[in-house]
Amino acid sequence: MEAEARFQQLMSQYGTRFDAGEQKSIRNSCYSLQRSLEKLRAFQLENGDAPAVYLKPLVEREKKPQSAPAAGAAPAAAPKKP
Amino acid sequence: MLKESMLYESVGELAKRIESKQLSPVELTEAYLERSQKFGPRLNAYARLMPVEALDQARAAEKDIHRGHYRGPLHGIPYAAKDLLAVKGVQTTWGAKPFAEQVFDYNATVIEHLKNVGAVLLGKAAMIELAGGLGYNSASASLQGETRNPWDTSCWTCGSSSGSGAIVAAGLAGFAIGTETWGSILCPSAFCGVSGFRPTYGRVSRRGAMALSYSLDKIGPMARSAEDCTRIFAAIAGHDPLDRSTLAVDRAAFTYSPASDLKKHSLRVGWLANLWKEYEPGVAKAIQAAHKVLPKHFALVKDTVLPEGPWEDAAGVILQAEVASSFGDLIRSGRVKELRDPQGRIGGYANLSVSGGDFTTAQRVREILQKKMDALFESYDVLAAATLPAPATPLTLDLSKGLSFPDPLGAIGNLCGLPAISVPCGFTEKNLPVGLQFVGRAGDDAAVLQAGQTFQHATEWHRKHPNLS
Repeated sequence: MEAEARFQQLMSQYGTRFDAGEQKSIRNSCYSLQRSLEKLRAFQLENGDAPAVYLKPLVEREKKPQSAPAAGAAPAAAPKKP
Repeated sequence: MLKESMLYESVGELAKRIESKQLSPVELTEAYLERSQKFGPRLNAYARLMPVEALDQARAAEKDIHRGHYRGPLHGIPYAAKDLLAVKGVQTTWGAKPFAEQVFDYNATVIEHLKNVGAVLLGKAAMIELAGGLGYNSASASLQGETRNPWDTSCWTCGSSSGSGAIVAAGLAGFAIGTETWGSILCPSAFCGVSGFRPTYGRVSRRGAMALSYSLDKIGPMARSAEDCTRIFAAIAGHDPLDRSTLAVDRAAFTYSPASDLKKHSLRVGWLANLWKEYEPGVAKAIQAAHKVLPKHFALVKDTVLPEGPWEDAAGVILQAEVASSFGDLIRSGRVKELRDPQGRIGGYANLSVSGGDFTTAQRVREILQKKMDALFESYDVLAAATLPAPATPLTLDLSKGLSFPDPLGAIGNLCGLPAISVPCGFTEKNLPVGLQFVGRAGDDAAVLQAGQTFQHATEWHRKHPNLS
C-alpha cells in the first residue's frame, strides 16, 4: 500500500511525462524501494543508535582558512623520489 | 619513436627513465597522444583529448627536470582524468547530455595536486552519464557511447569509470583517475585487468568533482600496478580546507617510500570464499589459483564471513536519497529525459520519495555496520575475494539481467568508507581479466596497498596487456 501510494504521489506530480512502459518501470522501482525499506525498518535499533554521519560545526578557525594551505597548494603528502 | 612496451611500463619504471633523463616527458606525451588518437576513438575511451595543453605541460616538465627541479615520480607522466573532475576552461560533461557544454573556471583539487607534482593531463576519460547514479541498463549510457574493453572490443569495460579503465589497459596513458560511489573503480579495474584503488572516504578531496552521493563518493587512481596506485595516492591524498568532508590533516595525509614497507608486519587475510553466490567457471579457476598464492606471502589466510544485515538496502536507500538531492533539480525539471539510457531518464523519480525518517534509519544501520566491520578487522588486516564473479560482459547485454547480482562487500565497503584495491589475478579461457580485491579497515589504506603490492610481487598478471593491433 505504501509503495503504491508512493507511486501514485509521483504520478500525480509528474505522471504526464511518462508513457505506459515508463510508468510500469517507476512502479517497479517504488515496490523495489519498499522491499529495502521494510528490511531496514525490521533491523533492530535502539533509541540511542545514532546515525553514522554527523554535522561538523563550522567553527571559527574553519571560516578563516588562510592559515591552512589553499586548495591547489602542494599536497600534504608529496611523493618522495623513487 | 618509443616502443609500445615502454607505454605499458609502470609509473615507477617510467619515472626512473625520466629522472635519469633517458626519457623525455615531451616524447612520452607525444607517444601517448599518438596512441590515444589511434586507439581512443576505437575504444570510446576519451571524452576529450587535450593535446595542446598536454604538450605545454610536458614541455614545462622537461624544462624543470633539465634545470634540476625533479618533483618526484609523477613528474612528466601523462594521465587521464574521469570527465567528472573540473579542469579550468575545459568542458566537463559528467558524461551526460544536459551538462555537455559545462565549463568550470577552476581545477578540481585532485587535478591541482597532480599539476603540482608535474603530472601531464592528457585528456578527460569517458564515463557513464552522471556516474550511473540515476540508473542504467546499457553499456552505452554515456555521452560518448559505450566504452570498449581493450581485451575484447565486443565487451564492456564496466562503469562508471569506463574510460579510465580502458585508457590504462590499452596503454594510452601512464595512469588514470577514477571515482567510486559503489563499484565504479573496482569493477572497471577488474574488467580491464588493471590495478584500481578506492581510498578511505575522506582521504582525497572531492572539491571540483561531480557530487553524486555526498557520503559515498570517493576518488582514486587506476594504474598498472598496486605500487603505482600507492605513488598516485600519495600525491592526491590530504586534507582540503575547501572540502569539509576530508579527514583532518594527520589522518588524510599519506606518504610513501618504496624503500620502506607500508606496514611493519606481514598481513593477515580474511578470505571470503562464499562472497558471491555463483562464479563463472573461468573466474572461479583464477580465484582458486590466487587463493593458493596467498599463504606463501601473508602471515595468515583464514576463511571468514561478513556480518549479516540489510547492508545493501541501507546503501541503496542512502544513495537514492542523496541522488534525489544532488540531481533533484534535474529530475524535477524533467531535463533528466535528456539522458541517453531509458532507465536513467526515469530511475531518479522513485528516489524523490525516500522519506527523511527512512534515510536516517539507513544512516543508523550504517553506524552499526561500521562497528561490526571494525571488530572484524581486529582479526584481519584485509579481507580478500574475487572483485566480481564474472568477467567483462558483452556490450549488448541488458545490465539489469546480466550484472544484477547482490554485492554485499561493495555495499559494506562503500557504506563504511573502507579502502579497497582490485588487482589482476588471472584470465578466463576467453582471455578476459579476472580481479582479486583486498578491502581494509577505514584509514588503513596502507594495508590494502601493501596487500596489492605483495600479491603483485608474487605474480605477473598485472604485467599482461592486450594486443590492440
